Amino acid sequence: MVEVTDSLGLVLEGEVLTVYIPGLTAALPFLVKARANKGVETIPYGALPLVSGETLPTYDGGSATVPAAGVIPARAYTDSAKTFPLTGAYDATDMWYYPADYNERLFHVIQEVTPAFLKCDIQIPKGVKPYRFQRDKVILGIGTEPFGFSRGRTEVVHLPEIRYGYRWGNETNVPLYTSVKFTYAEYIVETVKDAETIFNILTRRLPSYWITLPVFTREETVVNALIKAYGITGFPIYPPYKKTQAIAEYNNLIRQVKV
Amino acid sequence: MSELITLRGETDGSATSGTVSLDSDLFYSTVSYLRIPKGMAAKIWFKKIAGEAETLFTLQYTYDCTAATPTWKNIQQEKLASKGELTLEKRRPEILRAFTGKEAIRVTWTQPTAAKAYVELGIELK
Repeated sequence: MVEVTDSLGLVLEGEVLTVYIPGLTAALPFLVKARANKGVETIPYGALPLVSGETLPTYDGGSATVPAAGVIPARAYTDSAKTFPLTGAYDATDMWYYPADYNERLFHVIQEVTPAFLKCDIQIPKGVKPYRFQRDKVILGIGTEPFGFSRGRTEVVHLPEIRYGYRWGNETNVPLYTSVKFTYAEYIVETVKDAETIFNILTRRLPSYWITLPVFTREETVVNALIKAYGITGFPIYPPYKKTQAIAEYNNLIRQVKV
Repeated sequence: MSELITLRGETDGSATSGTVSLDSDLFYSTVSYLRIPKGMAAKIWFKKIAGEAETLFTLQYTYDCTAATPTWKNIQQEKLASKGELTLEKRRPEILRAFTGKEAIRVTWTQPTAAKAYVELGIELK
């Protein structure tokens, strides 16, 4: 078994990161050429971006007021997704947002929330609930839905031109102080541009680290962002017995790739 | 993911029985019980009690803390026989599960004579 990640779970230089988008049934394999923040991968961000006085819905059907900055009230959840402010970032209201002309960069972000039993989900793009059950019969997430969330940890790749929304929920009867730690890599990448290699990666014959983004429907915001940043929406997944068809399509797509 | 919390509480020093107000570094304000998130369990790894006089602390559990009058059942009792302290570590924790998300735990005390006493619980929510 070839290790393609380090002890932090971040992809090593020279290895391939495959970003799979289920809603498009396509994947983008990126060669990690370098890591711009090697050795300093941790951000002790601080409290969750909850503002004192803001009102959140509760699991009991009412609402609750955030009593102090970063405190999640008892039984409350963030129905409207949040971003993480950072002074000096490209967008000071959203530290993980970056534009299409930064397309040689890719951010691999692991969020670890304290307390770890808080419900977590991520909306891509912000405002779109990602998880569904039986097509669209049940829309899922950290709200009053019965499932469709993780606890205390999320892992995504932030793609350019797309604003992601983070949400959390507190099922306990206690208002809780919170904090978040990010472990991240700012990769310097290029798209893998050899059709045979792409086919071998996407059929898992070559090792790569796969991240499946929680985008389970075709979102035009995501499509437009991918085309603007990379020129394509990704390479479609083919089974091993359709190699000829796959290689032909991949060669066409490679000619449109921007980075 | 799991989170280890140390819950702390104390008697009020004036009543001979009551329910402990629970506090922790994660808690913005104290509560009289802790509701366990659905699908998780509270694992109690250690207990420490101390006090100025004989005190019986009782760990209680309810299946429905949202009921008008929850029914609490005794899970564990620890008695301080006289002034002093007692530390109990568990190699195998007491596990209290949340089947519906309405389950909760609390700690009560009784004393023959009112006095200050203190309790700590090392709880892992997993």
